[in-house]
Amino acid sequence: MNPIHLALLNLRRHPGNTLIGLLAIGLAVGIGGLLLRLHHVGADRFGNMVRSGDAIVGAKSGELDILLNAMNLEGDYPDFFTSRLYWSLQNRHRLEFMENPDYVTGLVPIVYCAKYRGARVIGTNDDFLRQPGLAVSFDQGAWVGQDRNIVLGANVARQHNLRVGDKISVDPWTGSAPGASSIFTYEFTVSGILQPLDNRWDGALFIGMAQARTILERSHVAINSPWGSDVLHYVIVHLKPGGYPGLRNLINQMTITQAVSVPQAMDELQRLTGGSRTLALAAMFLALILGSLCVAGLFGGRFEVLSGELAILRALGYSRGETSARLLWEAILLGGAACLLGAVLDFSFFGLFQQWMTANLSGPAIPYIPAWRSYPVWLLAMGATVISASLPLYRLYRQDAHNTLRRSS
Amino acid sequence: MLSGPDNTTSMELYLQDVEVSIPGSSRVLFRVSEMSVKSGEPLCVHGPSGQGKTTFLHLLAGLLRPDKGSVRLGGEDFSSLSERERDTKRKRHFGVVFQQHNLLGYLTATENVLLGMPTGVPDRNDRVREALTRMGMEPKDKTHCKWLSQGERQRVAVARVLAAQPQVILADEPTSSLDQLNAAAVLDALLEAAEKATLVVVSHDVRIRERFLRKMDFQGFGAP
Repeated sequence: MNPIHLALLNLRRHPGNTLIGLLAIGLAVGIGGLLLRLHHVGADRFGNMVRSGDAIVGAKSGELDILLNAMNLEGDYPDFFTSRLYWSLQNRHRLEFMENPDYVTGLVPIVYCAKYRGARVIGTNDDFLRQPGLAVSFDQGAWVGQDRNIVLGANVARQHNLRVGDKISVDPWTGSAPGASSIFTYEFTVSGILQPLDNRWDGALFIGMAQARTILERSHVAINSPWGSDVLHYVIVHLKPGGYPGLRNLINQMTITQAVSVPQAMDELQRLTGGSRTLALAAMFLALILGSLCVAGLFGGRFEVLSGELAILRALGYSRGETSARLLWEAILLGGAACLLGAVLDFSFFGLFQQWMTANLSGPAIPYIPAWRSYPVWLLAMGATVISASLPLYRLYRQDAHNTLRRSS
Repeated sequence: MLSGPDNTTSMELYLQDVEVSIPGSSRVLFRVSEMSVKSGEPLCVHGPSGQGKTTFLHLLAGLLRPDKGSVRLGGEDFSSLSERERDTKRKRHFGVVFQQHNLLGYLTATENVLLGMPTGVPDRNDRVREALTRMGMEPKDKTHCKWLSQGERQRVAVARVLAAQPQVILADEPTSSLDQLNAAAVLDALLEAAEKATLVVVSHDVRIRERFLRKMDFQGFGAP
């Protein structure tokens, strides 16, 4: 009888012990896998955030809110402000009581106005293409040249198999206020497709400011806003080094809008979310440690029985290697079955978590993290199970079969 | 009873100037100046309890080494071999009936018998069935050994040795839990096997001693 067969028989013939071990490790693997995938969700959620500009100017709503809505395209329809502020900054006009804002090196206006199959359509201008530190280039075609042209982010073109010259219809997205929904749809011709930027803008579409204003004019925005459709949601500001304090003073004190430092807000976001992601990892390790301790307890508790059994095998001529292999195989079989159980739990419940999070967190859909990305948990669980079995193995390896058999007689 | 080593008998057990001490102590448990057991000349070892008879049997099986002297198996110094080599020889050539039967309770009678057989034996299932039948245990061949009585376990332990058809059989009180009828059956089976194998039986049972021509009165120095 070989060690694998013996190990298998031992597991099958001790169903209580096996079930406890299987559930302990299986649940630990399932929970650990879920936590690891949630950790990946956290990392992926902000991993593709747009990293451009030194500051964002937006309607007052909190730094993180502005950062996430402008750079991660998540959140509800934001408040808007007059685009005159943009023009003032753009033209370096003297603002009352302030010096010329000559610390500004670049400005990109942003206004959300429509959606195409869930993807945001962003009204902007060709300054979008000339952002310092962000290489924006075209895979096909060119920037919007005439009316009813639209530029696609790389992911939008790939997902919907669109090419330059294709015509698409977009639905106005102008918030959730009464009358926000519109019976109008707008047809655009694809004039260009961007090279991948590896950020959220890959999942967006871009039109000119004039086209965006046309959409807004026919929505409740034009009715509710004191500035009509001449509004913006954000301005991405590129600054000279050390220019942010000046911008902040200008914007925060003299206007109804708010300036947000992109690096500072990113750090704050990292601090807030990094803690929970670290906690998820720590909880994952804790779950695995608890499961492993349970198995170690099972093996340890059975030490006397195992000791007698392995001494019998030695007396029958089984070598130390074979008896050790029998114990290790038991751990491997138990760990393998538990990993399988854990993977099934992980696979089954992650979809529910994903749906729940998508329903409760506004913004882009929570990305699906494939189950195989839990593999570090499986490897850790296998390792932990084998180590748990190895603790008695060390003692058994030093066992004197003669004395063990004498003591049992 | 004493004779020199005979290398013509391939699995002769030959002990010379053997001394075994109590573990962790310098106190000698027993000494054997010279002893030989060969195929066809079964030996019964008897003596008072606590003199080291079981340890003596373990010594013959290679489960421990003598502190002095040598145990030769088929002319080869068995006691000087490495532990792994002794394990291999024990599995290949030895069958041991232990005093406590040493069956694995979660295995069936059949599986316990299979456990004692070297791998690669072509007709192993037939031999297992035959041995269990011989011991009257075929009706319980699928029963887990933890559910068997002491006597039944003992018969399974003997069946394990018979099925393996080893060249050396060592039996420690093989009939201690058996009634007269079953004890006789076990002894018949062991003596029949001893026609082709070297057999050493340790027993207090007078009925067993009477069936052996060669007897050894084991007088160790006793356990502390």
